[in-house]
Amino acid sequence: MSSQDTDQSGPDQTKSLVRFCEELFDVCSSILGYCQVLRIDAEQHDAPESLLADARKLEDHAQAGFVSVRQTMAIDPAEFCDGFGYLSHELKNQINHIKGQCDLMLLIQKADFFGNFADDLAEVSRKCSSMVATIDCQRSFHRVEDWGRIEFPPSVTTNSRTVLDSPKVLIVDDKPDNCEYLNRLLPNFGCECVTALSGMEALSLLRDDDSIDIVLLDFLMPEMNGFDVLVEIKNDPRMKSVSVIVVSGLDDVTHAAKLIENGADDFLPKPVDARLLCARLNSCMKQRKLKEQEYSSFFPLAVAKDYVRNPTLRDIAKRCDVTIMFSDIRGFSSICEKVETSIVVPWLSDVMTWLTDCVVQNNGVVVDFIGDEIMAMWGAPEESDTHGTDACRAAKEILDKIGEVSAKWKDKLGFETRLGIGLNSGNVSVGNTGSRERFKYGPLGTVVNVASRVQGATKHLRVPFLVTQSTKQLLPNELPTRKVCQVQVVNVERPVELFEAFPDADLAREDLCQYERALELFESGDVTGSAVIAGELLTCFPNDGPLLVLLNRIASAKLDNRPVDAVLRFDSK
Amino acid sequence: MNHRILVVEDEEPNVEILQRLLTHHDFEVLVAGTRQEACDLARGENVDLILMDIGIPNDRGEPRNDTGGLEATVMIKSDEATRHIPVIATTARAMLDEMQTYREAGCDDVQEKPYDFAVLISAIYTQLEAAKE
Repeated sequence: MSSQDTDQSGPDQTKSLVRFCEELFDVCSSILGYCQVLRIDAEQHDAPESLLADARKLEDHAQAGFVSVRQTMAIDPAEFCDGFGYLSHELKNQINHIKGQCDLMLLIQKADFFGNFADDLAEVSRKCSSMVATIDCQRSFHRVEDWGRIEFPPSVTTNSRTVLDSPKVLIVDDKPDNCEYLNRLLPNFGCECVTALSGMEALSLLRDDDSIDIVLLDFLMPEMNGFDVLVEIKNDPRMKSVSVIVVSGLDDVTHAAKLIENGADDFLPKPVDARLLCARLNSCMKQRKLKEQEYSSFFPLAVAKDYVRNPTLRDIAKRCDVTIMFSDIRGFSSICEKVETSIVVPWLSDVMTWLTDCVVQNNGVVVDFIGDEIMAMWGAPEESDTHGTDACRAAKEILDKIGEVSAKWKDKLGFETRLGIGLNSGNVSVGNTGSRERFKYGPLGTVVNVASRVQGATKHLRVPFLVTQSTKQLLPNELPTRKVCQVQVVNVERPVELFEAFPDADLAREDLCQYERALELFESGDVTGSAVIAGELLTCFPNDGPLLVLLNRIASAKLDNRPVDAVLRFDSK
Repeated sequence: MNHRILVVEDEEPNVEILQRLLTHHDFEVLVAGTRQEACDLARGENVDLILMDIGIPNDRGEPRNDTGGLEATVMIKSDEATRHIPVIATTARAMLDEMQTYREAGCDDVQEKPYDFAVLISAIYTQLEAAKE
C-alpha cells in the first residue's frame, strides 16, 4: 500500500474541512430525521412486528451513524487529515449499516408497506449513497493512512407522544429536506404543520394566519437568519404572542442564551431528536394554556384562545350590541351576618362557579364578580345575533337549576339560595375597563346601569327575573312575557319598561293579559278600573309579586289622593 | 440444492443484513467472525463462496486486524482443499491503488461498502458461474 505525504496546512484546507463537515452533518441529520419518521410511522400504522423491529433497528443505526459524524466534526483539523483514511472507513461502515438495513427492508418487507414508507426508505438509501460520495470527494485531500480507533456509544431510542392541544406549527428552514421530515414527523404528534423556506416567507405567513401557535425556526438561513426573524416577530404586536422554538446546529451555549433573551421560548439542537422536540412543543403549549387560563375563567375557551394568539384584540375598544345580565343572591347580607364565614365562603364560591358555567356554556362572558353579584355579557367580544336569546336561555337555566343548588346547601347554610336576575340590551362600548396591567374586559354605558337597576327591581317586584323592552324585542314572540311596570332610572330620560320573562306556569296567558290590562288602566289614570281587574286576579293569585305591588300603588293612589304616577319609583336601590 | 455462502464479518449489523439478504435469495448462510473461524469453516464445511470482510480479528477476543480478511484469503487460497472457493472481499476501504493488493492476496472480486445489493448479488452469481468451470 502506498501513502503520500501532502501539505495539509493552510486556510483552504480548513475551509474544505468545514464544508465537508457541514455537508456530512446535513446529510446525516436528514438521514436520522427520516429514520425517526419511518419508525414512528410504522408504530402509528400498527405495522407487523418484524417491520417494526426493522424500523427500530434502522433508527438505531442512523443514531449511531450520527454520533460518528459528530465525533468526526469534533476532531482537531490537524489530526483530521492524518486520520482521514481510517475516519472515512469507519464512517462508511456506519453508513453501510444504515443503507444495508434500508435496502434490506425495501427488499424483504415490501408486502407490509403502507403510504410513503417505501419512498422514505428509498430516500434514506439515496442519502446514504450521497454521504458516501461526499466522503469520497474529500479523499482527494487526504492520503495519509492511520489506523486509530473510535468507540461508538450505544444508540438512543426515542418515544413519541402527542402534543397538548394539537397546535399549528410553522416550520421554517431554508433546506427543503429539513422542512420535509419535520412536516412528516409532527403530524404523528397530532400537530398541524405549515412550512416556509425563508424568513420572509415565514413572516408573511404569520401576518396572514393568526392560528399558528408555534414556530420552529431554523437559525442558519441565507438572507434573513433566525435571529432577525425572531426580532421581527417579537416587535410586531400582531405576531409576538406566537411561541418560537429556535432550532440550531450551533452548539454554543451563549448563542442559545442570547436567543432566549431576545424572545425565543426555547432552543433545540440539531438534528432534531423526536422525543426532545415533542417535549419542548408540549412545554410551549403548557405555557400558552396558562395564558389562556388567565382569560378562560371568564371567557368561553374559543375566545380565550383568540386572546392568547392575538393580544391586540384586548386593546381594541369597540361598540357592540350586547345584552347585559346582573344577578345577585337574595338576602346575602343577612345570611353573611348569621352564618359562619367557613360556610359562607365555600357556598358563595360554589354558587359563583355554577353561575359562571351557566353563562359560559350559553355563549356568554363573565365580566365581573362584585360580592354576591355577577355581571355577564352576551354579544361581545364575539359579535352575535342571538345575544338576547342566549342571555335569556342562560337566565332560564339558572332559574331552573337554582333549586338543586339551594337544596345542596340548605342544611349547612340554614337558608334557601335564591337569586334575582336582570337583563338589558343595547349598544355599549366594550374594551379594557381596567388598567393596562390589570386587565378587565367589560362594557361601558347607560345600558349597564339600567341592567343593574333592573336586577335591583326584581326584589321590589317580588319576581326572580326581569328584562327591559330592548331585551324583550330580541326574544321570540311566542315566549310568554308580562309587562310588569315602568321604572325611572337615574340619568336615563325615558322610563324603562320592565317585563317578566318565563312567568310562573300557573299564570295562564289570559291571566297575563288581564294583569297587563290592569296595569295599562292604572298608568292611564283609571285607578278604579284597574282595581277591579287587579282585585279579581288577587283572588286567584294571592302571592303574585307584581300584582301585589300594583295593588299597593292602587291603594296608595286612592289613599293619598295624588295624581297617578305611571312610573314606579323606588326609594332605595 | 442451494449454494452455501460463508459470510466472514465481525460487525453484528452487517452479519444480519447479509444473512437476511442472502437467505432471501435462497442461499444457505454460514457465519465466521474471525480469521481463524474463516479458515476453519472454509476447510470444514462444503462452502461454495466466501464473502470476506477485510477488517476482522485474528481470533475471538482479539482486536480487529485491519488486514485480517486479506490474510485469511491468502491462507485459504494457499490451502489445496480450499483454493477453489471464490472469495469476494467486502470493504469500506477500496481505493483504486489498493485493488492490486486485493488481487495479489487472491481475492476474486472486491465489493465496496456500503453494499449495493444488486451489484453484490450479481457478483456472487458471476463468481459461482465462473467457479463451475
